[in-house]
Amino acid sequence: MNLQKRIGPFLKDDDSVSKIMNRYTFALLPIIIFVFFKHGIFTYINGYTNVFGILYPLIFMTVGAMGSVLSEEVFLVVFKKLKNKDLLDNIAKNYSYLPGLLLSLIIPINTPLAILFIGGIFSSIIGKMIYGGFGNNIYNYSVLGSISIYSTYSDIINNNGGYLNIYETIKSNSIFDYLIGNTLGPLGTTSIILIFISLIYLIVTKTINYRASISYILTFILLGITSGINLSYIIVPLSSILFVSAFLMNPTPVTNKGSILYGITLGIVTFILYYHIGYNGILLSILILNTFIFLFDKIGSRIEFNKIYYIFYIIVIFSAFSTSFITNNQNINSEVISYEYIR
Amino acid sequence: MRGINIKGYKNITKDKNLLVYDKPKFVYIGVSKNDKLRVIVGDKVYIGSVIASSDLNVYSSVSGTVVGFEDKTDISGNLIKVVKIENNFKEEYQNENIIEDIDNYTKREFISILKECSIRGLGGAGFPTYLKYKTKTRIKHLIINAVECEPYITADYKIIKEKTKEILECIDAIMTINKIDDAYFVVKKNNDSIIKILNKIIGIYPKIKITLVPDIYPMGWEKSIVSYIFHKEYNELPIELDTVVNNVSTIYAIYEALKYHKPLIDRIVTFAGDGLRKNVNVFLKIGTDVSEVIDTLGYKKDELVLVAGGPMMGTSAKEAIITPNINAILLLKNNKLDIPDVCIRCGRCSSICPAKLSPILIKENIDSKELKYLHPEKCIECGLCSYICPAKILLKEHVIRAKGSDNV
Repeated sequence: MNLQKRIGPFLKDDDSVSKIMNRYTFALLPIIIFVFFKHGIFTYINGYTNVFGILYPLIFMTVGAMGSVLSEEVFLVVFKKLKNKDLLDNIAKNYSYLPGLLLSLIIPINTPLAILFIGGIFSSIIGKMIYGGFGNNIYNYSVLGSISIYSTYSDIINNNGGYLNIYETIKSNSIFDYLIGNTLGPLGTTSIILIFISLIYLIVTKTINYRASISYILTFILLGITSGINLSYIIVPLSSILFVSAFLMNPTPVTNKGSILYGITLGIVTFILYYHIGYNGILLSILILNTFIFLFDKIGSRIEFNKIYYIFYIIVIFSAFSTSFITNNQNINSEVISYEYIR
Repeated sequence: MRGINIKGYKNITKDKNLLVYDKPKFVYIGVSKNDKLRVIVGDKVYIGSVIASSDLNVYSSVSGTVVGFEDKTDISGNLIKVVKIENNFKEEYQNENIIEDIDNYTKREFISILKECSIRGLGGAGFPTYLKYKTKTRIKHLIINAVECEPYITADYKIIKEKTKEILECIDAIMTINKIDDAYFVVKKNNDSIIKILNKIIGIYPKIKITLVPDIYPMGWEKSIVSYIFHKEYNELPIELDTVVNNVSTIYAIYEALKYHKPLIDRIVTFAGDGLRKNVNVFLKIGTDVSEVIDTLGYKKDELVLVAGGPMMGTSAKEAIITPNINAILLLKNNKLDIPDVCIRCGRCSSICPAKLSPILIKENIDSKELKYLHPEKCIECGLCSYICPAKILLKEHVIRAKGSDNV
């Protein structure tokens, strides 16, 4: 008998990292197609651009993705971490296109391509590769990339038009526009319906950590409702909130109760920052909370064996109440949450 | 209840006739370090002769001659001493023709019979059964575990099918002797065939209830069953909730001990897997060399993996001898090894762990002081973390290693 020794268990689940990442990329497809229609085809139909302009959103996303892919390849070659010679294989295994592609979806359409390219490089190298590559990142790489280019080049992006898509400047937005995403905002984060469908797909196929995502969305919406702010102020950021919960939540804590606590806390921090500094507040809150993931895991793993750690839930829920109360007594500056200019 | 539905592969052995393989040429009876040897090379032994003894006796499962002592690795990889006995195929018993009334015992006699006959849990852990009953508090509930949640294994199903009457009779006797209020016969919800078999005669015993549990792994774990039935959790042993849990195969072993004073010398083992030509349940003597049985059943020429136990909790070995706690032997084709990926922090291992551990955090903190807050010692080695991990990280191995770490 030709016997081999192996480590058990001898049955394994069908799902794998590559399947998860493929589903994740697949969920991005409807949004990419939507971007192509909104910024390419519709702009052309309305007569604001030429034939080249139809392809511009696709070129835009490709440039972002290329920034990541090229910089990661260079990084691997320079630091001699290239495991096999096949460069294409490396792109597939490291999902190199993701940081830049996601980055291009969360920044204004009028960001100059050069800056986008730099952002892609930054996302990949600073956000991902220096921590050891795929799966080892502490911060969400795309959010890190977008915050860094906003903070460095906001003047250039503003002068170039910011979020404005020419034909959108002349129309007023209805609820329906917000649902389908025919509004101002970053490329990919405007369509509530499409992002919601992608989110449901990702949750049902267990591709993302649903505990963190759902508690995050619910916290944000509940805070909005209980604080008594104008409902339209909740609908404007809703698509971005959904986009974050679907595509930008990684990394999250690994423990169940840590994830829920993380989602709630992120919801509160986002709520506060959003109504003070606008859209970038959503992204900034992710980076802030990413830093403390290890603490949420500590709480999440201890809470199972020691009930005293439920105190953190009480603290967080209490702070949610106070946030809602404080917001109630303030007038929100509607300029802050519009996408007229970047702060 | 945390767990997951895993494909059962049970039909490949379920309805096949039991193969009786009770004439091995040699048996290898394992002797632990504390056991005092009672035989020397050349001694003649009978079925049921004491070979070694400490707390529990070790019995010979065949009649024949002691031919030597050898070192063999057991399924957990430890080197153990075995007594090699050559079978003379005469089936001579040490003490024959004892037939007793099984409910005609006092509790004290009952416990001493269990101890004398070395009855152990046949479900997997091999815990001495008499210790479960030797308690000062009154036992109120008896749970008979026939869940058999691991894939492939149908040994318990087989014994229920073959010995339904005896098992129920024995449960009734145990209840009378120990003055137990009620018994729960726990089977899987979708295991229609067992429910049908039991329904035919369970009506005679009004105190024995059939309890249905969901078809998830690891539902057969004592703690899962107890918390499913009573909605309460215990810390160390089920006796904290005045409950004793016995595997159904153990119940039959108790029956034989009470009725014939027969020690634990044989059991049913499921032989299955895509590496075997014939998948079947086999009735075996304790101490039978597994390779002898596999030769009889036939095997395929591919690269194979021999697993002692079920596919989830079992361990791979190059050789194995049947001990009381082995309920299955699998011979699987060696699939390509999955090279572990990087953890993508999906958190599935934490959300599935029935002991509420965070396997990936245990792996990462194996050398840090944080480890003691992660309680790796609570791991039941069910293997679900390694099963579910999309990155195919061998989490179970890491947690087991953490169990033995100084930082716990």
